[in-house]
Amino acid sequence: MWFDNHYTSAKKNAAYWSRALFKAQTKLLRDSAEISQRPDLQRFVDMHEANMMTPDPAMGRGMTKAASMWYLGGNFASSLVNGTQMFTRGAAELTRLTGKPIESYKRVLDAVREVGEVALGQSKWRSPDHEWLMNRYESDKTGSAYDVLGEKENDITLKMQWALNHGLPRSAAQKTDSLLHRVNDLAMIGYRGVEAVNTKSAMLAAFDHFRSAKGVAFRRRRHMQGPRSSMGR
Amino acid sequence: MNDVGGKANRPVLMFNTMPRSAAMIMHSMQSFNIGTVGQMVKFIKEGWPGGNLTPAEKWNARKATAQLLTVQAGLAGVLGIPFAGSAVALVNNAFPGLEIDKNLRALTQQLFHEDEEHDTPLSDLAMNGVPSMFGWDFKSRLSMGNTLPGVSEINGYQYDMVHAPPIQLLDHLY
Repeated sequence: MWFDNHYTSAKKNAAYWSRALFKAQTKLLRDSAEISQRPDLQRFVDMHEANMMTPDPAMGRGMTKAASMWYLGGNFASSLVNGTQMFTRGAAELTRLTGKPIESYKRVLDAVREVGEVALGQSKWRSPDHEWLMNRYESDKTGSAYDVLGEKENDITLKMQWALNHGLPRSAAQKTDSLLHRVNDLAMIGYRGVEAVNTKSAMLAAFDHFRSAKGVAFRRRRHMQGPRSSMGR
Repeated sequence: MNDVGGKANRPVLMFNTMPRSAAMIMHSMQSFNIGTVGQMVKFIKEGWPGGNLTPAEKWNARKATAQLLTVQAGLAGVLGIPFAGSAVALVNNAFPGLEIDKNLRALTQQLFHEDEEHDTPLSDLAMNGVPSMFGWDFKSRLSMGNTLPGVSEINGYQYDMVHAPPIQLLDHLY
């Protein structure tokens, strides 16, 4: 009972602060110099916030997950084809921004290659900026605005629940639930891997574009070393 | 900012007018198609004459539209372009006498000066995409020709395909 009370309290606190943080981040973004001048982007931010603030019902989430697993689970050919996204949609988006199709492909290819090399342990991130960006991604992705299915699995309170219940006798329903989670994780491992490559390479390509467009250069400034050092730098 | 993935990608109308669970089920596994079609529409809209964008921005949007459509057609064939396969299938269903599928193939062969009696590599390439020449089946996975619910470019309109994947799965299991 004591554990349950504390667990519920922590869950409510975590949910409250996650939402408060998201709201604050959205407000900051909405009021930024660039977006405050663009009603179209403000509309996107508002729509996104409204959508994110409405939790998905468990039934819808469960059925979506089951269908994805049934039709796509274990299908490595489909997951590999999913890896063409950056070359179809990502490169076109960069062309819209730069007007240079060949340059866009080069940038996408570079980003995919860099992510692949780091994943395979063949090299490190090519610049301190890239490393900083990927560290930010790794630390923030549990609250990713775009991760629909993962939001529940990545919930810190669920991890705490697992830790509290670990080693205790479990009911048949709990065992079945755990087994289904594992089957799903295994079946969708190819998709998740390719999606991670897509996401990281999209972030790198967009980041490099932003820096070249805005003329932002990496400078190791003393006042930036505080937050960076907390990320292992 | 580009609203092409996850929750940000969801159709506002569907999620605002239906119960959320129903909308999620209907939207299931359609994220890529909806996102890509949305991206194309956005590019076309930006490249269209008029509006607030500069001529350079419009020109870039047109280039991006051409690039996206060309790459999609290159990987999945002409019928893999959004709605193309469904449109052909619907016309075939409505007017079977036109034999539009067969005639479209014949027209493509004519375009490349090929015929059925010989190999037809160029028209096959146009219809099925470049990877098909290497034996890779990208078309069935990347094609967005079947974007209309219930319409398959191979089998035409099928009532049991109208349902979203989770309902089809339940149908299949029971």
